[in-house]
Parts: sequence; C-alpha cells; structure tokens
Amino acid sequence: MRNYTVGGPEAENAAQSNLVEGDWYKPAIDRNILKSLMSRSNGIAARDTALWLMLLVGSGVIAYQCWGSWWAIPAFGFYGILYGSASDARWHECGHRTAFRSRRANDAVYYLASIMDFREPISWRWSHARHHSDTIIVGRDPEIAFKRGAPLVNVFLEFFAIRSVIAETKKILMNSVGRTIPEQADFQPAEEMQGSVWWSRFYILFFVGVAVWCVTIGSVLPAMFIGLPTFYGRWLMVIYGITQHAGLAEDVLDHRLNTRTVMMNRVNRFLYLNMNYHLEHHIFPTVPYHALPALHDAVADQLPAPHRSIWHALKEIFPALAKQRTDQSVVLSRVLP
Amino acid sequence: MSEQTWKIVSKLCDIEQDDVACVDVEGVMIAIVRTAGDQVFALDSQCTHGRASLADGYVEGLEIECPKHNGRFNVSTGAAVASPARMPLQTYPCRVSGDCVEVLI
Repeated sequence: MRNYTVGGPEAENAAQSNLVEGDWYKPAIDRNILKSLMSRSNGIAARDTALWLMLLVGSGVIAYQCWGSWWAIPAFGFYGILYGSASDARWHECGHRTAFRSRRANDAVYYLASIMDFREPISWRWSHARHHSDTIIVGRDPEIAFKRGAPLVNVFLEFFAIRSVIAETKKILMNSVGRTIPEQADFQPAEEMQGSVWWSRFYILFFVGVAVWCVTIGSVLPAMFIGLPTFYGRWLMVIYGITQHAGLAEDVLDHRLNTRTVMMNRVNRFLYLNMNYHLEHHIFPTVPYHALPALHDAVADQLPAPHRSIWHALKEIFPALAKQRTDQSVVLSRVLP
Repeated sequence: MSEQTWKIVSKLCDIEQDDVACVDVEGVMIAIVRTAGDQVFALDSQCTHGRASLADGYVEGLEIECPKHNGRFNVSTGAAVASPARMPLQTYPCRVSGDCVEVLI
C-alpha cells in the first residue's frame, strides 16, 4: 500500500513530479457568465439553512416525544441524518464562505456544523484548503478518504464515523495541550495553532458536559441529540462522500480524472447542498452551491459525462475499491471530451 | 534602483465594474481591480497563500476573493481579510487618466 502520510515520502515524490500546487485544468467559460455564477446571496442560503434547522428541531421534538417507544427509531434516524450527514455539506459550503454573502453567517453555520461533524474547525479549514490545492495528490492531500489497498472494513466503519472520530479525538486531545499531530503541522501554519488549542479545549468541555448531563439524569437521551448523531447519522454523508473521488486517478492535475459529478434528486441535493456537482466545485470553488447546476450546464461539454444516479456511481466504485485491495494500479478511467 | 513612473497598463473600458484584469507591467503581474463605484486599485496578482492568480478572482465591494481557496484581500490596502489568506498583497498607486488606467511602478 502506498504511504498516504501527509508530508511523508510521497510528498517528496509529488514535489519532484511538479504535482504540488500545480497548474490544474480549467474549462473555458465566458468571464461574464462566471462572474454571474460567482455572485453571492444571503437569501438562498438563509432559506435552505432555516429549512434544515426547522427539520432538525422538528424531528428532534418528535424524537423526544417518542422516546421509549419504537417510533423513536425512525424519528432519531431522521434527526441523525440532518445532524450527522446534512451538516457536512453546510460545514463544507460555509467553510468556503460561499453559501451566504455574509461572512458572519458563513462562519456561524460553519462552527455549528463543525461541532455536529466533530471536526475542530480551524485545523479542518486548513486541511480543506490543502485538499483544494493538491486534490488526491498522495502525500499532500489530507482528505483522501478512500485509500487504495485499505481494508473495505474501513469503509464500513466510516458509515458510523468510527475511524474519523477516533482520529479527531486524538488530534483534539493533543491540540488541547498545545501539541500537534505530525500531519497537521504540514498543512496548518504554526501561527494558526492557537485557535485549534482553544477550540479543542472547548470541544472537550462541551462533550464532557453532555456526558456529565447523561450521567446526572441517568439517561443517554441528551447524547442522542448532541454527540451520538455524529455516529448514527453519518451513513448518508459517507454514501454521498464516497462518490466524490473514490476509485479515480491519483497524482493528476486534472479534476476531470479524479473527481465525479453525480446527478441526484432534489431531496439529496438539498441534504448535500448540490455537492453532487463535485467536479464543477473543485474546478471553480468560488461558485456557491446554488449556482452549481447552472455552472454544470455551462461547461458540461468540456467534462466527462456525469453519473446518472448515486447507484450508478456506486456500481463502479465498490468493485474498483475491491480490486484496488489487491492491485493498486487499478484506476477508474475517464473519457475526456 | 530605477525611478518609479506612471505607466499606462489598461483602458478603463476593458475592465468591467466589480471585476479584475491582470496585466504584465515590465515583468510584474499586477491585478487591476475596478469596483462597482468605479474606484480602481492595483495589487500583486499572485495570491499570498496558494499558487493562484487573482485574475480569475471574485470582486465584491472592496474585496477580492482568491479563485482557488476563497481567501480574501482588501483591494485598497492589500490586507488579508479572510483565511486561508494571511499575508498582505503588495499594492501599487493607481489612477485613471482619461480612459487609461495608470500604475506607479
């Protein structure tokens, strides 16, 4: 298996191959069209955020009232998706600060969603910036979620956030006492560490507080609303997330070869905030989520054909991941226009 | 060190409002930003965070957003105002003379 350690030996290879901060392919697009697509709006994101929060609170109230009956299972199932999966897209869009026009609104939702996703917000902002600099460049990209040759059980465990929460807990504990994990030091400037220190301490206090609350009242109910949904509600985010890059090329400077666009229905696009247009997002990260369908139409003739559905994408991804277990040269290729 | 002089770098009409254009001024790539209020500013075109040209950036008010990582700079002062941008951009005196944009460099 390749060494995916960020800043490890593959990082040196990437640098020698001019893959670090490289010149990425960009499709041609009229500047005025791109300008209109990049324009920001508070209204659309406010509507979508309000709907998300209303559904979250509404399902939470129903789940609370159903506690102790079998009806609590679907109620918490729905609440968990909104908390543990839909939050990921809000985290992502507001992390780019493109969802709202207002920076404060973007940051407020970003921090809220970071807690729901159990991601320390400062380090993850830097991690994601590196992901955009060096997308799926081995040794550089800290967000390669599906590594070639990795046991498929890892994918299964990630449906319940097991591995990512363990890794994040370790980082938070170290950051809280002013220490970094080695990979973090590769993408996060030392001057930005103090923010991670304070956020890590807040996370520890916050989640220990929820645990103390549960112990005090002798019920797991508070954690069912805060904390545990990160585990039991994560599965849909993994299904969405696996379609982004899994099985595609590594170490290329063309997002058309390492990133997928998958057509989804309106419900999934609401939960995922149009991140199914992932290829277009990577090429033009300044375009807000609500303009991605129009961006897709504007450059579609220069990109590979999108997948027709989530299922259509998964049908190529899982067999490829299985083959990559034994043969890491297996790669899903793309026909470029 | 050679004396700085005002150099014509572009026609104003070639840069739309709320937009940016990059020009090569004696080997220095400079981003010329024209705001909605018709103010014109000149600053280095290379983002100080990642390897990206601000030529493809998004102009909003007095800020320009890097097209690669969404870091932001104040176009008047060059100051980094949103992460991951941290270091300021070099700015240059800039003026409009007739229909010409001039930069002191």
